[in-house]
Amino acid sequence: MKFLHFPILVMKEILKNMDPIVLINLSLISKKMSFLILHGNPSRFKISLSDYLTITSGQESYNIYLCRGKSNLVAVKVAQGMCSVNWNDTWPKLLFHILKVFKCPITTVTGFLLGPVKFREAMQQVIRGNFEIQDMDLRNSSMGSDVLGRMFEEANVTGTLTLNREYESTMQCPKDLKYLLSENSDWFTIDKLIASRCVVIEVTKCSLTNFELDEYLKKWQNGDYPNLEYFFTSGIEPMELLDGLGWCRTGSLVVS
Amino acid sequence: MSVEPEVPIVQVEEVRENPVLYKIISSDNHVFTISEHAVKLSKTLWDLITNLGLTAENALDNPIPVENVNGKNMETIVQFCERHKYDEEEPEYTNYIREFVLPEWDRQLLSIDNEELFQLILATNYLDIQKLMDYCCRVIGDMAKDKTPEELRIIYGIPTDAEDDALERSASDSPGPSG
Repeated sequence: MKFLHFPILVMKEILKNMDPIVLINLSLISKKMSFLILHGNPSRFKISLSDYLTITSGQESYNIYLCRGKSNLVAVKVAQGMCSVNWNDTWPKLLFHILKVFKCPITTVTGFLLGPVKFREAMQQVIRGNFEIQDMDLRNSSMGSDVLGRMFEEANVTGTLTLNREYESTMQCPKDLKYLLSENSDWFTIDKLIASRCVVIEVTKCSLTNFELDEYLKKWQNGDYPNLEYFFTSGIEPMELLDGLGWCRTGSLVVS
Repeated sequence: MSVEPEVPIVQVEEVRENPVLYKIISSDNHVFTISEHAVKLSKTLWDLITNLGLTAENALDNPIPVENVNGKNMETIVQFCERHKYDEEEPEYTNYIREFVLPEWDRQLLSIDNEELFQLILATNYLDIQKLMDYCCRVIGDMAKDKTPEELRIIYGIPTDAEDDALERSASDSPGPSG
């Protein structure tokens, strides 16, 4: 059989019916084949990083083990048992290869489950390829402010960033982030609020002063910061009440 | 259009149930009869029948020549279409791997060597029979399970990078049409 002699529509039909592990193994045959994998509609896959590198296709999950060092075979756990990818390098390089070949974003990164070392290794590859991450959950993650701050200057996080630990002022907000949900937000200063392009911001215990917040909200009412649709904070009290703003007696402010 | 008298006529058993029959001539001049319900599984053939205005009365007198499909593949295709002619319509294609179990009868039908399967897929593509294409793709996909890239390369006849480069070099070195 000469697979490459099939008409392109037939190739697409065949590739569309293949699971992600078969597609990864096929992509390792040759450069030409790695380009053709795109015809298998890999955007149907969801890629997430936690204690595994997981590729989900419909109801099926393919959990790739994040083993230390290089190995010829990377084990993959699936519902029916085990399979493998013939990869002769480290798992972060495999992540890079998968994102490059499938051209789809990482749907979710769960920092706590990934651990700081693997998180850093993964992020290096994600930044190297300028790949998109949709949602990042860093609750209870032990990553430091400096490392995260530097990472977020370059990382393309486009969905939700969820935080609950205290960070220093070196912490940054990813520039294309849409939703920021943060507890213990002392790091979230007025500069970061002004620079943010978020649609939704929920920050508790932030370091904004009453004056800063009032100034910001006045400008927002006048049409500045057009991306912002919803803002929630707690623990501060605006000096003036602006029309259309919700203000709770418990000391939280809701703007929407 | 008349049929050569010496041409073998392949009769699939299920065909006899259906009074409306069509005749198809393969590229190697084998003649097949196929029922109306079965032929509707092929979009290409059904469009042709509709466009030619074939009816129950004149269908058998006007065989349809299919020059891109040989008798062997046409026999498999007719068997398949007769077998599945009363199947319910497939649900809409979702964005995921189509979840269906390949029936044993079809697995047997498609237990042919790689080269034959390749030719059958080309014929299926030409005749636009979605269900058979799905089944063939499933067979091809199943071949890939638990295989290494090297094994996949051999099964699917995919050249290595070095072979691709050599092919490109020889193509660029060879003189063009003018000389």
